[in-house]
Amino acid sequence: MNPTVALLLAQDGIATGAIYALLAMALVLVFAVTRIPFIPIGEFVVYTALTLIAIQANQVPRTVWLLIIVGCVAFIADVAAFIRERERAPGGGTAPLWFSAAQNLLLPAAIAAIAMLLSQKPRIMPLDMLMAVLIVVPLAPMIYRLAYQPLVSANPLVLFMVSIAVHFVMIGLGLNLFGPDGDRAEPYADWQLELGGQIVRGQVVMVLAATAALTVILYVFFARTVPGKALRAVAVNRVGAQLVGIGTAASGKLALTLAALIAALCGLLISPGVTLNYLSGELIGLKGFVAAVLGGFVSYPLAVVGAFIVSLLESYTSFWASALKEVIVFSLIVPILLLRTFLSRPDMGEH
Amino acid sequence: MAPVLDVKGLQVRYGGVPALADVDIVVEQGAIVSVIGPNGAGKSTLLNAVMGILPANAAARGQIRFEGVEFSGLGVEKRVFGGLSLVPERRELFGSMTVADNLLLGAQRLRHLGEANPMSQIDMIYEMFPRLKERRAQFAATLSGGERQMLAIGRALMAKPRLLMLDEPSLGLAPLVARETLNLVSRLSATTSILLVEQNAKAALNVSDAGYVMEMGKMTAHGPASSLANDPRIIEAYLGVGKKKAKPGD
Amino acid sequence: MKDRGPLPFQAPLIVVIALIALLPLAPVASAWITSFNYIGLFALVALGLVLLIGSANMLSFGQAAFVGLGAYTTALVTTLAGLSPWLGLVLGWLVTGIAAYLIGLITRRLSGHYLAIATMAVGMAIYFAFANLEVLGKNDGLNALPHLSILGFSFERSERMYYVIWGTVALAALGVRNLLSSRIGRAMRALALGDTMPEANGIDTARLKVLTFVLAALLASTSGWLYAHLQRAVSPIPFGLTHGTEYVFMTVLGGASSVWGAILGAGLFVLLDDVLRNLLPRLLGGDGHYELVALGVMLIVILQRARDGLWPFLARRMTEYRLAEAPAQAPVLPARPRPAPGEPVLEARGLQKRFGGLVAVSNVSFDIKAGEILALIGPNGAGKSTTFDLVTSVQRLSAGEVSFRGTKISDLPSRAVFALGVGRTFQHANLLPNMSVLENAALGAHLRGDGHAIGDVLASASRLNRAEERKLLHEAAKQLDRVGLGDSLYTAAGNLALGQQRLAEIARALCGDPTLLLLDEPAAGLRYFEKVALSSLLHQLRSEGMSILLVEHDMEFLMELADRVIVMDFGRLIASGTPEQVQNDPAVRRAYLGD
Repeated sequence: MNPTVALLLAQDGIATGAIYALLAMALVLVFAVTRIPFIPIGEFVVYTALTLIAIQANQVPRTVWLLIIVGCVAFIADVAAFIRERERAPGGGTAPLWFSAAQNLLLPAAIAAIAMLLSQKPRIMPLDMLMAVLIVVPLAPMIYRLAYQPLVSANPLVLFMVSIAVHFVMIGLGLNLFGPDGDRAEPYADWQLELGGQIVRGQVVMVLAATAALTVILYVFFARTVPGKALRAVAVNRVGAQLVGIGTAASGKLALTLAALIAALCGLLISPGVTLNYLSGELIGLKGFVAAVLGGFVSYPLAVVGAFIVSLLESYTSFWASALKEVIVFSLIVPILLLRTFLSRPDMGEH
Repeated sequence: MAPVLDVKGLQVRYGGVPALADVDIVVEQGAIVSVIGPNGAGKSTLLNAVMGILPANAAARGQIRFEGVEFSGLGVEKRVFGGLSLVPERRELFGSMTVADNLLLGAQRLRHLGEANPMSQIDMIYEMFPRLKERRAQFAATLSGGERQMLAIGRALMAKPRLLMLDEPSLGLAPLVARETLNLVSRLSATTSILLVEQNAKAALNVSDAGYVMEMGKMTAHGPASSLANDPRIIEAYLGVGKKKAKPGD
Repeated sequence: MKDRGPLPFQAPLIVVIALIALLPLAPVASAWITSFNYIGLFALVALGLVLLIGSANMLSFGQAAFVGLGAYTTALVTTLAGLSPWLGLVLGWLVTGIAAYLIGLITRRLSGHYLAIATMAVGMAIYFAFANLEVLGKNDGLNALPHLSILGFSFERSERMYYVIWGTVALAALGVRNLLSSRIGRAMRALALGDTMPEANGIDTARLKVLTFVLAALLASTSGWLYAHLQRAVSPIPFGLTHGTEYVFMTVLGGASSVWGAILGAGLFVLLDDVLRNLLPRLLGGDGHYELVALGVMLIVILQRARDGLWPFLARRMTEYRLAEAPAQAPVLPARPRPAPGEPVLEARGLQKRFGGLVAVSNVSFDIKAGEILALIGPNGAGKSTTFDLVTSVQRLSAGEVSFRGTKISDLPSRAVFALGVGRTFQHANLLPNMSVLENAALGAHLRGDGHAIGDVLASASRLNRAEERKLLHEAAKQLDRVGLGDSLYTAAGNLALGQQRLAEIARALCGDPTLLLLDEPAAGLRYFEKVALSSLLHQLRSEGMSILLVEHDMEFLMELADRVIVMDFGRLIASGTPEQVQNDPAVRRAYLGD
């Protein structure tokens, strides 16, 4: 390997690492607030990318219909829960129902209408990207409502099983929604620049810039805004959060929506660079997981470090031992867990 | 005027095991009511059931009427938005967040109600607890026991509750601080009704209008605080002095 | 043991077993045999998950990868090296066992999530190794495996493999069931409550988790070996994460807490999968992994609505056969020599515990002598339970030292403190709610087992440990009888009243033959006559030379029981003396009643 190749591989590794870092941060966020290991995060990446590809092909993406159907199911679940609560404790307004209808029926319908309208118009890339995000992200709070909300007080391992079930449901639907073939989106950064004799691809620059911007936005959200502080409060002390009126379900929905938003942006960022199909999310999501393990699902900085370890290893092994790339990357869990054991103090006295 | 809190026939079971049996309690508007009784009598369970934060394996039955609205079955946040606040025995502060942020989040009820200035209370809290103002940029986890108690009460007051429930507010506090806390409770009654659970029976009754005595999941006595304070049965219940003979099967 | 007929099964089960045994003799389509062969193969893996999910509260999505290790090992051994399939079985166990051991080793001290994630990641690594290694035939896999034969008798036809597979399932199901009602199995089930309680009963939880995980992996490996020689070919597809998840699904569907649930789940799964694969595409058209979607949705619904799976609904109609039953007579377990009366047993010097900025226990010192009852009292939050935890090493001391009969114990793990003869109960009774009171108590005798030449697991699975079990269960019944629960031996512990749960915990502690017994509020929740009985039991224990430290609030109960009382407030000792002295101490009155 000569230095040029080494630098090229490093460039690849850093760009991928930024994506894994974003996903790992999203995983830490969801886990801290809800105790959910959000395995289906990779599917949100892929769904967004493939939705964008469909939009760019002047189609109405089939994810629109998924959004409408899942919205209806979520609304029915809300109505059923409302009736049950009403029987137990009569009185109180119908406001929750209207809110649910707006979120689960009206919003998907509006998004679907816009998507259909736009599919006839000439393509504008930023608008297409926005549309893809708008179609995919609202699925997250609906999934929280249907899969996780009835299990708030469950054993953490039950949440794990539900997560993997959601993951496979999304993969199974993905085949139907997008077909078996892989594809790439149109490039959004077709330029490159020279940096100290090294050619840097525009996409790499954009990925890094977007990652940096998103990190800053997340920081400001959690450090400065009331909803951000409320989410942190749930992560720090669940009972305390309940006592000041921060709802478990609302914060769970918000956490999953944020994670889905981050994943959707990742999907946009990588969509021109790699060929994705309905199955690709599994590997992407799991690598985010391996990275998040280093930080024990609590530390954002360590999750980012983990992400770059994973991506650089992946980048270099694809050069040296491309057949065994995934074997080596996933085996990384072993040293990472050893490190984790070393980093965490013994569990003595924890109840 | 309807009482703030009217509990009738409240039963709580953990698994199959009864913890509260047919408990009735009334808190009138503007009153301070204390529930006293030995450890394990079910006092905290009572407050947690009213607040709706019983553990998953617990089942509650009975009426919990709050300002005329039935609360049983409602989620915790709806009870908070309705005007109920609890300072729990374990305080449940946000340890890795600042004192100011803890207070800020205490005002979620006012934000929900759409009040123009949800932080209007904070100056009053800082005036009541100057220590909290000094430490407003510090993490809650670094506070001393007394300061944590102040913050827990301050956070609850940020919601401008209609009823403030305090679970063992003097627990783990030095005697002087404990006394101050109870004095504070009597001052607070100008703005909110209070339901107080205390082991420190005499001190609690001193600041209360009415009292309930709880033993083994049941209310065994209640009445005006002044008459309960001198009731010999209370001393018996706590220290076993006076040689009450317990009856088989009680 | 009472005579309960020749076989430990209820009538409906016997019918089912007979049907399974006779199926190949009936004129059924060969597709049936194939389906049942798969049910058996899946059931073997699910039996391993009964140990993990149903008992020890561990979760693995990597069982398919272990199946693959078993299958590929025997494929390599028989095709490339041309050796016997039986060698392939043993080598498959070896390879799988080592892999599982390593995964268990690196996750044993971390919370349950990490094992689940590790099994996913390592499972992926193994899967990609199958699919990419030249020697393993990459995506095509390995072909032309020999069929199984023993002493010239060939199992080539699938009707014959049927008997091999279901014979193995029967052995494994019996073995797992026997194991779970043995000393080791009870300890595995105790893992579901977390590490604190099992460790405080002498159980090495880290080691036990690794053992449980390895056993589950070996069952998966066996399934892989059978699969390889049934198919006579292996390829990577069945060993990926999807299939790893399907094993979890079928176990949860059937009911993870019972071996019958595993078999039921495997059966339902094969049936469902078949129906879904044929029906859904015809109904819905187009291409889609509809069965994946349907199974995922079903798993979510089951976890939300019937977390214990379907077996309990069926089992409700049958009376449970009791494996763990206390014999009327059994050899007595060897007991520890008691210290001479008055000999110092426990010395606590300057105990201190800080949590962040809070001092929970500050400079607490006390002694207990042999045959003495010392009561520790104080208002709520005074630090009494923390002091208990410090003495028994459940929590680490910030400063100070505890010695027990001259040995410093404050640096030992709590299981070692228990092993030396310090038993305890918890303030919140810590029993396994679905396990019988008898078996819960027997947990306390975990360290008093015999040890077996063929290993504890094999001895338990084959019931060669019956002599040991008789002794342990007899001891448990004896101690339960002493605390007054002699009539409730076979009640599920969760159905006891709170006070009785505390008594069961005392019996569990007594099963460890302690020299010093620490009781946290033993009388709370007891009725008057139960308190009297408890009091006389504690008197009796004292007269046998046992020392007792107890936290209690019922002063009347303490008055006639305690030799000495120490009083804590704000983490400090504020008074000590006889019960009368303490009761009349002004500082104590102030602490309790305020002024």
